[in-house]
Amino acid sequence: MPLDALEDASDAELLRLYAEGAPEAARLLTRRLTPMALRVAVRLLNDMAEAEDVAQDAMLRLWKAAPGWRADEAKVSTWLYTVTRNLCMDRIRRVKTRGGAAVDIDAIAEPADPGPAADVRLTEAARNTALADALADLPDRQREAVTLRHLEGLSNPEIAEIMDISTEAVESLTARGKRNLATALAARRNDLGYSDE
Amino acid sequence: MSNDPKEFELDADLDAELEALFAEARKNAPVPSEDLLARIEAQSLAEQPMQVEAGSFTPPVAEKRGWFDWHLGFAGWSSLGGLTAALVVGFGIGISPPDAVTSLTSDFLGSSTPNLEDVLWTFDSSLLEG
Repeated sequence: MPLDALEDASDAELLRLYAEGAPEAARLLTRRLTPMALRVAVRLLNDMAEAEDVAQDAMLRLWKAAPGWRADEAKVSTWLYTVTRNLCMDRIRRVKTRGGAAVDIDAIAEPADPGPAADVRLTEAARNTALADALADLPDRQREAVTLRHLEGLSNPEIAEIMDISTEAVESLTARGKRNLATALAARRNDLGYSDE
Repeated sequence: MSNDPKEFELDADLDAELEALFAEARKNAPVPSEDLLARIEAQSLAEQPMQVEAGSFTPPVAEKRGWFDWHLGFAGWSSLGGLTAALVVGFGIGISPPDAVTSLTSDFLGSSTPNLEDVLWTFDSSLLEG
């Protein structure tokens, strides 16, 4: 089947085709879903190398789940978010148990967009780093909720399913997370190009 | 601690600034390197339960099947032995019917060998007479 004929296929349809042996489906799913897993892992772990490992592990679990996949039971993207989130939480717990730090600011990729002028890019990069720092300092569940809601754009019910909590709990976590982010970033408003006026 | 989200709501300016930060972060989201994508793709192909040649894949369609395939699919090879035995026995009984079969036929039809002309005549008469 030509590749462009599969472009419009749903994730579940591609997963079925993958299980039936279509290599094109494997390529499309890789390119469609890996960015999502990597984005979440980077936000939650603040470490690119660790995030790449998690994304690869999450995708491996998807390939293994493909033959028995039941499309009526789970949405592929929600399933992948859940697996990625759980893998990140496992790593964070391991780091905390060892007493190490989960944050490695140097490992965060610089923005790749070459569009804006250099000084604007610098400010944007500084703001991105500041946000990543502030997110990393949030309690785990607040960081998850804020990341999924405001950086991935998921709905509260979707987040509730991924985190296995109520929608009200998601609303509370995101509200408290945003409040804490604002407090953490307030001291750096001038550095980040915001005035106090 | 209260769980009411309204207690933690930001004022409009702070909320707008935070939203602007989120928007920038979404725009500058990390993207997977080609190396990572290649690794994951290689892994996906290695894990694929079975593979068909690239470009040759077509969704499975129902195959046209003959009676023999249909029977095999329905009942399996073992059923063919029974079917063959039944055919042989039936053929044998037709050529040389045992006494038990002959008497059963007589009881049922009134003679050991029904006369075809009688049967046809009855049918023909029925048509003519209405």
